[in-house]
Amino acid sequence: MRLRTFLYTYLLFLAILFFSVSTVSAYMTNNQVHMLQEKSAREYQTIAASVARDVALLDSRGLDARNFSAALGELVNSYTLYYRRHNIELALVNTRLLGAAPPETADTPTLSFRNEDGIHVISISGPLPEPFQFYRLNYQLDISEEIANTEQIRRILLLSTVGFSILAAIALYFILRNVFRPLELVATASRNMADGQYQERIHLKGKHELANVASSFNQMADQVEGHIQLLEEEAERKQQFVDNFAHEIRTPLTSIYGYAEYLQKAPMKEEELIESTGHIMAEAAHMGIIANSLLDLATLRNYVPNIEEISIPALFDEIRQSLSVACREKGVQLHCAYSVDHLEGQTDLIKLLLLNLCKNALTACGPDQGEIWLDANQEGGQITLSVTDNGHGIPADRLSKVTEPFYRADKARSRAEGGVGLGLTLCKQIADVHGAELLIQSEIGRGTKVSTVFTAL
Amino acid sequence: MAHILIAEDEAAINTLIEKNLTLVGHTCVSVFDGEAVFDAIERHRFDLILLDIMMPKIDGFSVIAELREDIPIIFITARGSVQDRVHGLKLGADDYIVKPFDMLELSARVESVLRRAGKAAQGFALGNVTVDLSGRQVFRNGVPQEFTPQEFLLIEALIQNRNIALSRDKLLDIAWGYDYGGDTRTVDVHIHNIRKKLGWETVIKTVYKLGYRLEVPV
Repeated sequence: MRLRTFLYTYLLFLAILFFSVSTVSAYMTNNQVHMLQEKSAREYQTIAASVARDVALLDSRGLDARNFSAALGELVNSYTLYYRRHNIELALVNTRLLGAAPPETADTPTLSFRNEDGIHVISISGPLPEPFQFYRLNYQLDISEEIANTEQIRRILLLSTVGFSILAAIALYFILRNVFRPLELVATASRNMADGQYQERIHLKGKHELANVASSFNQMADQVEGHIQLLEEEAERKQQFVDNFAHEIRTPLTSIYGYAEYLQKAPMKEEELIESTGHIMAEAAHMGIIANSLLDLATLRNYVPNIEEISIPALFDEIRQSLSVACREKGVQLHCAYSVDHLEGQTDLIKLLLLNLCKNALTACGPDQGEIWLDANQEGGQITLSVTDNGHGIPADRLSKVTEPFYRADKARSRAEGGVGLGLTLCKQIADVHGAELLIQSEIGRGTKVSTVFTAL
Repeated sequence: MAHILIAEDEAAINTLIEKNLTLVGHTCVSVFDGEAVFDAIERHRFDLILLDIMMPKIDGFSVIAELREDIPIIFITARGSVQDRVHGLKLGADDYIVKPFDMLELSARVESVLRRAGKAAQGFALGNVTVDLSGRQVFRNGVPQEFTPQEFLLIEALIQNRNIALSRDKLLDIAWGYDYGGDTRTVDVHIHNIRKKLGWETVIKTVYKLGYRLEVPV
């Protein structure tokens, strides 16, 4: 594109330049020849008049033919010698002596221009004025020198034109490079984006058309980059899920396979039989829980809950009953408080959500001084259910990950309590299908508060 | 036999490994996180460390990287990805085991790493029988006993996997190689010879439907 523009522009420029230059130089040459011709004609007239006067003077002396022709020869000779110094050759021809018929027609001086072997000559030939019209005066002006001068000027002109052309080519190259630079920036950026460098942007100042193109391009790049990032994050989450899942499955599998093999191959002892089968059953049960939780998660994806009116006092009562044994065992106190009576949602899901949150809270609580607060509040039309504990808290860097499948903030404790690492993922899913938001605040050593804010319903 | 440190956070798996290694005659210490590895090393001299990668506090890779003592390491990983394995081996681990693993794989890898480190048992003694594993000789009451090379391989396999039942197929593979087309009854014949020559009629137990097991008091 740039090369083509350069070539076309340059060729056009050259055509115009050379046409003008050649026109001007041709005009110059013509003009000079013309001027020289006019000058010659005037000179001829002067010489002819002067020669005629001298011939008339000679004639009036009444000399005889011999003396007359000698005197005439002398006269012509002096003219010739004089004008030769001015590059003019003169000759006077007596047409009567040559025996030629005197010209009949009105005999005017004829002018001709000849070029012989590089010698340019203007010649004028014509009769002298009456009554000496039988004398012809031949005039020849050598203008080779003037023509040569003009040629020289033409050559210089041509050379400088070529020089200018080269300068113009260089200037044109740089101008085009500047003009095309924004386009090339756009092209490079597009290429890089096509190669997957989505962070590519074009930096162009000004308000011209290309700046607009650049700004549109940058907007597009922002969009593409955003989408790609989302996709990458989604893919990464999926990959993470698969990795975690494989790990979660491998651990119980290793136990099950290992203990079964041990039973098969090692010498049998009663207590080892009980211990090994115990491990096998516990791990199989654990895998069962994983399977059920995953099934719940899969069912809840894109699930539309059956919205019903839930009585919060009744809901809290049920939860208190479900957890009473576990609370007593751990010495944890459960406090319930509500400033709102009803909530819209699917009862069993909301109950599952709160139960999961409470179980997490129980796990987090230390023995004997643990306390859990279950609250329901309404603020600005939004109902918030929150579960707060005074347990050991979650480190800030893990807070954003706790809802990821199979992520455990405290792996050892969670496994010991039989958790599979899907509880909070399930809670988030339940919150999502209710259009609610799950907010987790935590402070190490002080406790954790998980709030479910029902925004949409 | 070797003194082995087991660092694995899953209690069930930790116990399982300990049971297996104890069966074949090793002594074990169990720890459940990365930090405890360094404490245990200060208190004991270990011949080998079995190290889980995903552990609380300090993960296995960091443990390998920080470990100054020259102790052979086999790392245990649930993630079988090539990068993980290469990463572990690059850090200086001697071998790796991917979960789930079987008993024979575990004992074989432990045995081979110990042998490379020059810490494998050179001999074995049970009652009036002594076996010189490096010299490939078997004595009963100090009298050398004649065995075919296959029979010695069988004895060696039974000793290295003592208290673990070895299937006839496995024994056939060990002594005759995978491409041996023979019948598993070949194994029975040679086991019969070994029992008779060493008086091991009760020491080498026949395991129902499976194969044979060398039973040694743990």
